[in-house]
Amino acid sequence: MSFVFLNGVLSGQIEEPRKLVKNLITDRRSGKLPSSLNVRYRKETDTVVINTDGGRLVRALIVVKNGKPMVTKEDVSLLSDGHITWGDLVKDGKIEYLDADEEEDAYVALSEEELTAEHTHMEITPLSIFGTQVAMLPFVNHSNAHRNVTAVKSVQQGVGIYSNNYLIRMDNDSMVAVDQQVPIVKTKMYDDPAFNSHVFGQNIVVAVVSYLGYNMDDAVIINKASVDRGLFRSMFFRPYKIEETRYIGGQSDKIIIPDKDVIGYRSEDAYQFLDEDGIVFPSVEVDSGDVLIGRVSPPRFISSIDKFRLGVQKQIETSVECRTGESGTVDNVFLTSTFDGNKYVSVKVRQDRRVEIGDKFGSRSGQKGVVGMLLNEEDMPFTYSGITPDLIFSPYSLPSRMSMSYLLELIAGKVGALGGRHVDGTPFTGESEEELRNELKSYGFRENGVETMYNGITGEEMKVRIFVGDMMYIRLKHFVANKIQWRSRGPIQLLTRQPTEGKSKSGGLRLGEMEKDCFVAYGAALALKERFDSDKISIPVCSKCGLTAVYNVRKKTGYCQIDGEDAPIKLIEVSASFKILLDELKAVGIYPKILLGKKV
Amino acid sequence: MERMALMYLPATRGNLRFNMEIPEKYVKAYKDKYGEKADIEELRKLYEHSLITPGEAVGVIAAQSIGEASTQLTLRTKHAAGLTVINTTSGLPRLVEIFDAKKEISTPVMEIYLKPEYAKSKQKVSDIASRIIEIKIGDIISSYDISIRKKSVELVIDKDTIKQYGLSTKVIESKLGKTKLNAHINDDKIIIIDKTVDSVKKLIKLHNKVVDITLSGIPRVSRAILTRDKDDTFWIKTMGSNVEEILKLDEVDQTRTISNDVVEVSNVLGIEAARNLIIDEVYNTLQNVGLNVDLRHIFLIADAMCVDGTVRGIGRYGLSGETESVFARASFEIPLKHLIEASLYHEVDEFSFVANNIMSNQVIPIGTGAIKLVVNENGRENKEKDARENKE
Repeated sequence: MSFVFLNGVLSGQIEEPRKLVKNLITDRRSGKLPSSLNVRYRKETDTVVINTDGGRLVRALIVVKNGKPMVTKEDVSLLSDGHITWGDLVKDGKIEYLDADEEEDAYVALSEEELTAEHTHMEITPLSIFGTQVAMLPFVNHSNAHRNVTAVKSVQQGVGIYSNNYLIRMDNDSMVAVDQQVPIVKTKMYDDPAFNSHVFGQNIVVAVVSYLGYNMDDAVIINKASVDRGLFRSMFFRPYKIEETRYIGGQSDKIIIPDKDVIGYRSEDAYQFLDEDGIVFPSVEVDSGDVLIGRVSPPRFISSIDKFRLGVQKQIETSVECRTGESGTVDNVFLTSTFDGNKYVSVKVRQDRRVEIGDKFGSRSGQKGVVGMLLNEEDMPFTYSGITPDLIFSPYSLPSRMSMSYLLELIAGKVGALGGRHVDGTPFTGESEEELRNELKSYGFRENGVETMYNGITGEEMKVRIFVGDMMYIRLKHFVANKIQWRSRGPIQLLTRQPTEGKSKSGGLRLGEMEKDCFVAYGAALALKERFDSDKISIPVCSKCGLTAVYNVRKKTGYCQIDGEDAPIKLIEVSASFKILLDELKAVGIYPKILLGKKV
Repeated sequence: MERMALMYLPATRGNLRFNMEIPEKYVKAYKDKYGEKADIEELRKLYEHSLITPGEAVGVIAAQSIGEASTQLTLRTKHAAGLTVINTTSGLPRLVEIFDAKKEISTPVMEIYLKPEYAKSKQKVSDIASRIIEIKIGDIISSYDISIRKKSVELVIDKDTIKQYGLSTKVIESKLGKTKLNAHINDDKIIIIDKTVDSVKKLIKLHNKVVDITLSGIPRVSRAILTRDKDDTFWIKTMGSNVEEILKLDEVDQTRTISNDVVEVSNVLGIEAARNLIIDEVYNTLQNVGLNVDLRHIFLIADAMCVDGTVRGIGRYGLSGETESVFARASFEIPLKHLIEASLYHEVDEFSFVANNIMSNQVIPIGTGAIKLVVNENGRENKEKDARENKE
C-alpha cells in the first residue's frame, strides 16, 4: 500500500503504485491530462508524487519507445516546413516536459546513436545539457570541464554592450565597448537575435608564439597599431548622483554655484564648468577635482555663538567633484525629483578607455591574460603574406590547461575569415576538426593552421612554424585605470594618525603583522622603525610623574599638570597609537608611568 | 662534550642526528696558524660562538620556517582507515597537539621494545602483548540490569569471553574485593548492592564505575600489535599509553621503550626525554608529509618549551602568556586581564622585547637594533679630527 501525494498533499492510497504512474504518463501523452503534470514513484519512501503546480523547472525531451525516438525525420521536416508546430508534437506525446522529480526515473540518451531499448527519452539536441552561458562557448565538448567553468566566468566579465539604452541609463560603473562584433565561430545560441544586439568581443588575428618575453606567464602582447585603429576601445561611465535634501526646521540644501563665504569654498577654478543652475553643462571635459554639481548645505550643528551673531548663517560646501584620478567628458545630465519631492541631479561622466598595459583580455576558452606589452606594428612578427597579428598569445599557457577549444576556435576562425562565413562551433553537433582542416587546406593554407612567420625586428625567418589564426577575444572589465593607486604622502586617520585605508581615500598599503615579522627575521630594526614612523609624534613627558605634560614648542618651556612648572619635561618620540593606549589606560584608571632612561 | 650530547636523540629512534663537528677546513686553518699542537677545544669554543650572529632573530626565523611549512600541511592531511594499523594523529592537528603540550593527546601510542631474550620469539612477545592489554569488567559482560527496588546493579558475565581472555570468576571476585563495593558473584552474575542509592541516575553512575574496573593488563592500554623488525625481532605497538607501568615489566627494554605522549614522558622519564620526544615527533610529523624543516628550528622550539624543567605549551597558557613584558602579553591575547594585573602588581615593562617596541615605535632590540653604539666624545677619532681642525 503506498501513499499518493498530489502537489505535496496526501490525497490517497493505492495498491499498485507503478501501474498508476504508468497510466498517468500514458494519459498525459495521449492528451487526456495536461502536459505540465509530472508523476513519479519514490521507491525509498514508497509514495507516488504527482505535481501539477507552477514554479517547477521543466525540460523538454523526446519520448523514446523501444529504442526508437517518437519524433521521426518526417516530423522534423514537417516542423521545419511549418506544417506542424511544437505544440502539435507535445500534444501527440512525442515530446514531453519532465520536472526534476520525474527526471529521476528517466533514462535519457544524448544522441540517436546511443539509443538502446532501456532508454525512455532522448535530448532534442545535445546542446541542451548545457546552460545558456556554456552553450555560447565554441567547441566546449573538446575542453576540460574545469576550463569551461573558467571560460564562463571570464566571459561574464566581458565588456560589451550590456544594454542598448546605455546612453540614458545611470548604472554605477558601467562599461560599454565600442565596435563589437558577432564572433566568426558561433554556436546555435547566437542565432537568437538578442545575442546579436548584445555583443561582446572582437574577432582578431592571434599568433601563438613566445615573443620578446613580454607574453610570458599568461600575459599577451597587443599590436599598438591595432589599438590606434580602435581595437577593444571602450567607454567607462561614472554617474554622480546628488539630492537637494530638506531638513527639519525648514532648511534645505541648495544646488547652486556656492558663494565665496561658504565654509569649505574651493578655488574659483574648481567651479568654472558649472552652469547658472549649479550643474556642469554636458560635453565639458572635466578633470579630477572639478566640481560637477555645486551644492551648499545648512550647518549640521547650530553653535551657540551663531545664535547671537547677526546676519545669515554660514552654509557648508557639499559639492560633488570628479573623483581623484579620473577625468572625462560630461555625457549626460539628468534632472528629476525624488519620491519626497527633493530635487535630484545625476551627472554621468564618460571616459574613453584605450587599451593599455595591464588591461585584462580573455578568449572564450578560459585563457585569460593581461597585456604585457603594446608592441609597434613594425616590430610584430608577420607571415609571408604580410599579416601581423593583433595579439600574441603564449604557447606555454596551453599544455597544462589542455584547453583544446582555444586551438579549434583559432583554426575555425581562420577558416571562417578566409571563406567569408560563420563557422558553427556548437558542441557535439558543430563542424568537425577534419572538415575545418580540409577547408583550410583548400584555401591554400597548411591544414594544421601553422604558417611561416618572420621576426618583426630582425626580419629573420622563425625556425618554427607559428600557429596563427582568427578568434574572438573579449576585453574583461578589469581596467588598470580603475585600479592603479599610489601614495607618498596623503590623508591620515583622525584618531590614530595612521594613513587611511583604501583606494578611494588614497590610502596607504599596510605593512601587516607577517610583513613586520620578515623585517624582524632579517634583523632590519631601523628600517622597520622607519616603516612604522607614519604616525610618529613626540610627546612631552614629565620626568617626575611619568605622565604626558604640556609643552610649548616655540618657547621651549612646559609644565606638568601635577608637578607644576619646576618639573623637568622631556620630549619622547612614540607612535600616536601608543599615546592613545596610554590615554586609554589613564581613562580606565591604570597609571602608565613612563620611566625615562638615559638617551642613547 | 656535554652540550653535544644533548643534541643527540635516543639511539633507537635516531634517524635524527645533528652534526656539531667542526668543518675540516677550519681545523686546518687553525692548525696552520697556531701549529699542530693547538688546543682544538679553544677552536670549538670559537666555532660554537660564531654559529649564530649576535642579534639574529632565531625565534622568528624558527616560527616562519615551521609556519610556512604547516600552511601546506592543512591541505595535505589524509586519513587512512584500517583495522590492523594503529592510526596516529598526523599533520597539523598533531603539530598543534605537540606545541600546545596537550595533557591528553588524541591518539597516544607506545612502542614497547623487549629485552633480547624475549624479543626473538613470537610466542613470548604475543604473550606479553596479551598480558598488557587492559581488560575491564565492561569488556566481559553481555548484559546488565539496574533495579531501583533492589538498589542493585546486576552484570551478566559472558562465559566465552572470559575463557578467551584466560580469566575466571575468581579473578573477578578478588578484583571486586579490593574495591569498597558491596559486590558478590552469583553463578554468572555480578551483583552490586548499594543501599545508599536513591535514584536511577546514581545507579547508572555506579554501573559506569563498575564497568571501568580493570581486571587485568595495564590501564589505558587498549590494543597491542606485534611488529617484526628486519632482524626478526619483535616489538609491540600499543594504542593508549602508560609508560610508568610498562617500564615496571621485567621483559621490557627500558632504554628503548617510548610513548608519543610528551607530557607523560616528561613526568616519567624527565625533561630531557620530553625534549627529545618533542623534536622527534615534530620532525617525523613534518617529514611524513614531505616537508623538510631544518632540525635546528625544532631544537629551538623544543628547548623553549622545556627550558624551565616542565613542558610548557606555546600559547596563551604557555610560553606567550608568561612573557616578561606586559605590553607583549597584552598584545597577544586577553589584553584587559594582563593590563589590570600589571597595574595591581606594579609591573614594569623594560621595553626589551619586539612587540612592545613595535607598539611604541622604538627600535627593536634585534638585528641592527641589538647593538647600541656610543661614540666617546674624547675618543681617538675625535682627537685626531680636533687636531686637524686646530691646524687649519
